[in-house]
Amino acid sequence: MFTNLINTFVLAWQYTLSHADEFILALREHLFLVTISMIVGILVCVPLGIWTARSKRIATAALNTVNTLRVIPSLAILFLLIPYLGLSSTSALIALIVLALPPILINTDAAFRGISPAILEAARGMGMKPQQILFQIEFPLAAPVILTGIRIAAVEVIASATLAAFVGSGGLGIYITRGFALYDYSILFVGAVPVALLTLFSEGIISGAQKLIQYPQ
Amino acid sequence: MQGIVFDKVSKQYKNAAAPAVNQVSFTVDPGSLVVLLGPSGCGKTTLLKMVNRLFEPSEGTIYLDGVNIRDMEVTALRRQIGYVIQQVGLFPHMTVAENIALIPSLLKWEKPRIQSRVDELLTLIHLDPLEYRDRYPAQLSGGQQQRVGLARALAGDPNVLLMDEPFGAIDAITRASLQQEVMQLQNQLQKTVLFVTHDVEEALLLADKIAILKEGALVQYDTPWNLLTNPADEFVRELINADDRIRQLTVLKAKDVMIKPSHHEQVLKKVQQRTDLRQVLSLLLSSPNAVVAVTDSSGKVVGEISLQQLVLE
Repeated sequence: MFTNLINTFVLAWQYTLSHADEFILALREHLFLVTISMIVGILVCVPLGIWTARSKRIATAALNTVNTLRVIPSLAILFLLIPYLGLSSTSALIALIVLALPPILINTDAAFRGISPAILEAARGMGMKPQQILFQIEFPLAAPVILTGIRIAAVEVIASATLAAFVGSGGLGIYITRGFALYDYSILFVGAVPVALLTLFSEGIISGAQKLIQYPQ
Repeated sequence: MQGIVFDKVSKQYKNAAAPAVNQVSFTVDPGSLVVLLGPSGCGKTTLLKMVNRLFEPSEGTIYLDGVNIRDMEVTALRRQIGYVIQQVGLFPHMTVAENIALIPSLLKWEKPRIQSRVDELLTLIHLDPLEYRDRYPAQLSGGQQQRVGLARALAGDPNVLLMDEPFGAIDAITRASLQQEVMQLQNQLQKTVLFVTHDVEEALLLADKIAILKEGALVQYDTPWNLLTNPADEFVRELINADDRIRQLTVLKAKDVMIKPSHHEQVLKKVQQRTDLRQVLSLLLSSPNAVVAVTDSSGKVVGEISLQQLVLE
């Protein structure tokens, strides 16, 4: 069993070396999908979360919407999009963005909502302008919780970007589908192991950033 | 007209049956400390927060040093008013120094001036700058946090200070020392202070004048002594327990009742001219001959008090 596993890793490594160009392209495609969907997710959800934290009505509407989107499996979203967008990376990106939205939005909303009213009253009472309060007080206080949301989203998106292979957008998922089709675990590992490493890497980076900005509580 | 002038100020909240503040007029003289006193819901905090325009009056006008505060830009107004609140509201992601430096940097002071101001204020509130400058609020005790809150409010050197139950959440022992410190600071700095509390002892101790509020209306505005000896009505009498002779003694100073010294000073216990008569009484009760000497700040005996001087009117 154990020797089998080692063997599979060795075969996967050899396969990677013999398909080096293809592997690097797949890795780049994967990183492209992840980066774009995370950037869009952050650009949409952080401002939206700030807004929802200030209004209960908007919060209910927005959070319910993303939560509804979240229960649809990403694979289902992909197939639903194919009739409209075809087999394209746009379909894959949309499915991934839908996945990235909820954790970022929910955490941004909670982070801003969680800031003590006394702190905000002190800031206002001292004569800070709304913009100064937002950037000098609220953002730094909310940042650790927002980063947690980004971390959760990144982990999900990195793993789910493998689905892009189903709509021909490449990414490390091609090795998973190929390995599956050929019933060859070593090929499957060529996709799965780098995905796992990418996940750990992004967790590490974001946790490090969180430690940097964390203030004593 | 200097100081803070309230001119027929009212505040009606939406969906509230009665106004929170109703036609209140009075003047806070520059350099004096005025306490707003009353039970919960009497409108004292609302009245305070209208001065830095966290609330806007529904009617009436507030003047600050002769200027209608509505004619001033709201952030500019607030930057010249120190604001201290019960929950302190220090910014947890900023160090003590950064918290104190906030208003000076909003006022665009030069860096070196801000730094020396921070150290000056920390020294003023008895926190060693070297030790406390770079600490975060979470690394301070409750009393220390409120000291820093006070320093932060004083940072821009405002003429006016608004204090909203600043010691309400602090234990009794720390509160007593903070009250002493506020009195000391007030002697030194002579700010115009508006101070909200529901603690009668605190009000009597700190106030030059007390404004007593009931259901949004100003019931009486006078010095602690006049309130105790001439309460306007039953409400005031009960609120401040005006008939309590011991309480009356707390607002009188030794210099108010002392007579010419006649005893040989060596044998007497000594008190300062500013010592309150409750402390004098306590000392008298433990003095063998029931006489204490009153000294001026240089230690020279200028008068004496015996039990007889405490039995008045």
